[in-house]
Amino acid sequence: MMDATGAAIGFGLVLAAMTLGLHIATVMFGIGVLGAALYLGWPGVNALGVVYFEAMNDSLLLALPLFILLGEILVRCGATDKMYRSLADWLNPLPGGLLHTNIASSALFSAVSGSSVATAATISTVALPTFRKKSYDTRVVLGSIAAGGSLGNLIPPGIAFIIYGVLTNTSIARLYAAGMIPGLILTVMFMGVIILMAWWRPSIAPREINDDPLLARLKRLIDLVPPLIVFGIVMGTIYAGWATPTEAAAIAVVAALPIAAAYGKLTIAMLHEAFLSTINLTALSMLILAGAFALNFVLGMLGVTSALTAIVSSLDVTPTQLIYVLFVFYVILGTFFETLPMMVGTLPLVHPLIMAAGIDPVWFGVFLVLMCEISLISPPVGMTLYVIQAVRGEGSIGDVFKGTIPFFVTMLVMTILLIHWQDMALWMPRYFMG
Amino acid sequence: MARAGAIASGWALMLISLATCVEVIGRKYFSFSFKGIDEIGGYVLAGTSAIGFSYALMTRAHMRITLLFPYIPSSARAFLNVVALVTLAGLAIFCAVRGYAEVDASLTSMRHANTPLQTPMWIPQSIWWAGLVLFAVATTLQAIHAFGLLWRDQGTLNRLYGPQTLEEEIATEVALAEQRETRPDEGAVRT
Repeated sequence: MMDATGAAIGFGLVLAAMTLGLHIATVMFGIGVLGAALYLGWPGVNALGVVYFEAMNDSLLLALPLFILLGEILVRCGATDKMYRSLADWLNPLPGGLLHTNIASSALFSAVSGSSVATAATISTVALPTFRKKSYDTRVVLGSIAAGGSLGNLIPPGIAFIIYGVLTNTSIARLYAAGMIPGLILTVMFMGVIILMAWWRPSIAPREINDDPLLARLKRLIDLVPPLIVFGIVMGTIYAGWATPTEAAAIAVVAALPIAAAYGKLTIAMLHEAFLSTINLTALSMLILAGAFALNFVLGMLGVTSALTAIVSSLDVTPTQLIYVLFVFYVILGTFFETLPMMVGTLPLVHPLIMAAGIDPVWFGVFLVLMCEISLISPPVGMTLYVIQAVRGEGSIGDVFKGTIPFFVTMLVMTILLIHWQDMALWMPRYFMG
Repeated sequence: MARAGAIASGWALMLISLATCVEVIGRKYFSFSFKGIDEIGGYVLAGTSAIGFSYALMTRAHMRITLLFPYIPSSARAFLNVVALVTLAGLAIFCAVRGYAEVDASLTSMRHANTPLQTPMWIPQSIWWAGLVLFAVATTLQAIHAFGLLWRDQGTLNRLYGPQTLEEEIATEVALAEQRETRPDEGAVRT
């Protein structure tokens, strides 16, 4: 048995070793081996080998490379710019003009791609050249792209939900359903913030005049069809009960091939490039995940879970207080950690904690993914921000930081809403899956 | 070799996707099923990940947190890079050794999966194990090389085995995004 002090020391070691630049996977696994060796002896260490194959041979987790592959194929077929133009047709009349298109196209793009950084990189490449010719306030433009990118993981199918689901044994189908409404609400809130800013300071955005004939605009609507088809296939097959999330991902990958062909981009060379980035991302995630499984296994054997449960019940905190503590903790951690280490590094301890406090694990999944998204746009180490700055190639990163602030605050408000109105996330899974 | 393995893994993912499609349609409309496609999917994941470990090593993609790196002298960076590589090699060797024990046990007792397929466990496990061995060899070679460089040429060490710097990582993302949008003219929105 290990007591809470041991667990706390171990957790501190994890954070310290990660900060020193050791590979995340080594840290997770090394701590697991250390714990097993200290408390269980050699048989405990040997048992980790078995866990390793079991962890990696998981048909549920196969959804991870498949969704990555889906996104890789779709972004390579060049559908993004057309999608952006078509959305601009309809959103320009709103106060704030083209800024809304940044948000909406990110939301739509994230419905086919699970990655926030890829979303931000793609949308900024498409959007920034357009904005250069216009008199928009630069900071708000950059901020809106960063904010849009943060929708990437929240709107299904996100990769972060798969990882959370597998690590905590939570249904991925439920998590996807749970992310849907908060993702949409956040999209609407971002657009609301833009409207408010445009109304308060009209100088940030010129009024757009849309003089394209209606027919041309209607014709361009067809460019919104491919992402909607893919999204429909994934969600439809899952919630009609025809397919598991893994199977839905497989069907979507196959459906992406004719779409790429329709754009004239389906070549072996394109597929091979997509394969290479997919395997790269899959392997680095799997190495970390396998380490996390090993650590989870050891923590379970050592009884850390029950020790934590005992502490939480003795502390006399309400679930809401506990969530606020975690909220502050994750926002601080998020200023220097990225999504994957943040999730994988904290879940082995945080998950038993929230279970002990009686917090719904599906709701917590949505909360944690939102925390990860905040980490991506919180300076000084928000990956999304630097990617946008690099695409921009002029001015200072400070502009991006400042432009993000209204949206960062919006996300904090969104988190508070989510905490006090948990049905926002839980209604959909209950409605569809009982 | 790692690259070829990664491409082969990609095709394996495509194949398993196609098979899964047939399976889902068959199950829905013709009450027909391959029975065990998900089991094979699990093996594909184990195999692809193990093979991919080495590829991700080559592209320096294995994730590290580099918060401190800009603030410490380059000799300290070189030292930390070596420590990271040596520990990673340790992890890889441990996995390969434990992996061998698994394959060996499956072979000697001819273990079969407890599923309709009754897969002899050594088949998927040996592919998985081969990936782990490749990873162990690759990390060990890199660790030895980096260790040698520690005394001779720390600059090269940091360049070869340091984490991807933020600039490099961003450059990769940006290059990818720009390559996606091959026709810049159409990126301009007419309003």
